[in-house]
Parts: sequence; structure tokens; C-alpha cells
Amino acid sequence: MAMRFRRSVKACGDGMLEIRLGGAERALLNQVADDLADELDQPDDPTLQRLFPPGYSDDAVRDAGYQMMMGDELRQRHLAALRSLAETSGNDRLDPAQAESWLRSINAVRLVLGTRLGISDDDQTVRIRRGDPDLGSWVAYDFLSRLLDDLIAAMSL
Amino acid sequence: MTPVETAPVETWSPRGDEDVETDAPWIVLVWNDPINLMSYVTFVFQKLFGYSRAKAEKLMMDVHTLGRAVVSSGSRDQAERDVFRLHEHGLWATMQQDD
Repeated sequence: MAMRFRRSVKACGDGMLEIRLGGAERALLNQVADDLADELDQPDDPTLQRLFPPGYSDDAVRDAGYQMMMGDELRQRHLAALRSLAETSGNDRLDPAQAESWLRSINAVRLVLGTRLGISDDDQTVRIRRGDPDLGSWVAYDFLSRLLDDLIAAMSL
Repeated sequence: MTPVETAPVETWSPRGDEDVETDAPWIVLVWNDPINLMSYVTFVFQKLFGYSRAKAEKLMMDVHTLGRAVVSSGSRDQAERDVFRLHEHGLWATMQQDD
């Protein structure tokens, strides 16, 4: 196992988080957030369904009601978090509300990317192979997973 | 602060346009999925429900090893609110009436 000697997120002690990322990483965050926000506006893609799970386990009628009542609100919440991530991707410091948006939107992007990459097993390892047509997606998925874990470590009580 | 365990069972007041129901409590289930990080699921349980880290980790491990866990229970309205907040955080949550 490789030792990681630096986390990309640090708690400042005043409730703010310090973000230590390079320009390419910030550009990637901005792009994945913008891309998913655009796709949510045109939700024909079945891989986006992962962001809108059923609410009732065993009652299709009630679930239809839940989706009608809450579906648009859920879409708006996902959109707001993604837009906040895109707007603050260059920030060196995040306030708690911005950190919350990063947490939820980075996870949302991971869910969609992971679904598209066919991740279906708990123990599936990230596959970074030269020549793989999905290489860019795997690299992004791996980066977002590590960043999310760093965010959680910095936000945990 | 005492960690919230399960919400007390309240007298359930049906909405006017719905079927007659029993007053059995509703339970909120979180299902295992291969993408959400274990650290993330634990963090969300702590944040949304005020659970201690130990309790949140136990629930997360139940989801991971057993495939699902009951994370809260209460009135139907409360369960719907919890399901929505879990969906907002990308967790695979559903609700059903406890048998």
C-alpha cells in the first residue's frame, strides 16, 4: 500500500477548510461539475437515475407520488450543489456551506461516473491502464474518491 | 448531547386524500451500493441523524455486510423527510411500513 503523505483538505480551526489543489485538479473539478449540471437539465440518460432512487421499496404507486412530489426538488438540490462546486473550484478556502456543496456534488459526480464505468462490486479496484478508452474517467473517478475522503477527514468531528 | 436513537412513535395523522392505514411506524432503509465510500456513508449517518461515530459505523457496516440497514423510523412524514435527505446525499434509501 502506498503511503499518502499529504491530504488535499485541511481544517483551519475557524470552521473553514483549506483546499490544496493544483490548477489542473481545479479545472477538472470545474469541468465535471459543469458537465453534470448541464446533463441534469436534460435527464434522458439512464445512468443519471442513480441520483434519483426510488423512495418506496415495495409500493410503486406511492413511489410515483414521491417522485412527483420530491423529484424536482431533488434535482434542484443536486444542481445547486454542482453549481456551487463549479463556482468555488478555484477557492483556497471554503466556508461550511461551500464544503457541504463540495461533499454532495463530488459524491454525485462519482456516482454517475462509477455507474458509467460499470463499477458493480464493493471490492473493485480503480483501473488505470494506458490505452484504455475510459482512462480519463478512471483518473477522474480516482481523484474524486481521494478528494472526497480528504474532505470527510477534515470535516469529521 | 445524547445521540438520537430512533424517533419516538407519534400518533400518525393521515392526510385527507389517502387510504386508511395502520399506525405501524415507517422504517427507512439504506441499501448497499458499490460506489459510495464507507467513510462517506458513516459521515452522512452522523450528520443527518446526529448518531455517534460508533453507531454510524455500525450501521454502515450492516449496510456493507448485510446489504441493508434500518437507519431511522417514525411517522410517514418523518420517514419521507429522511429518505429525501439521504437521496440528496446520494445514498440508496427507501422507506416501508414496519411489519
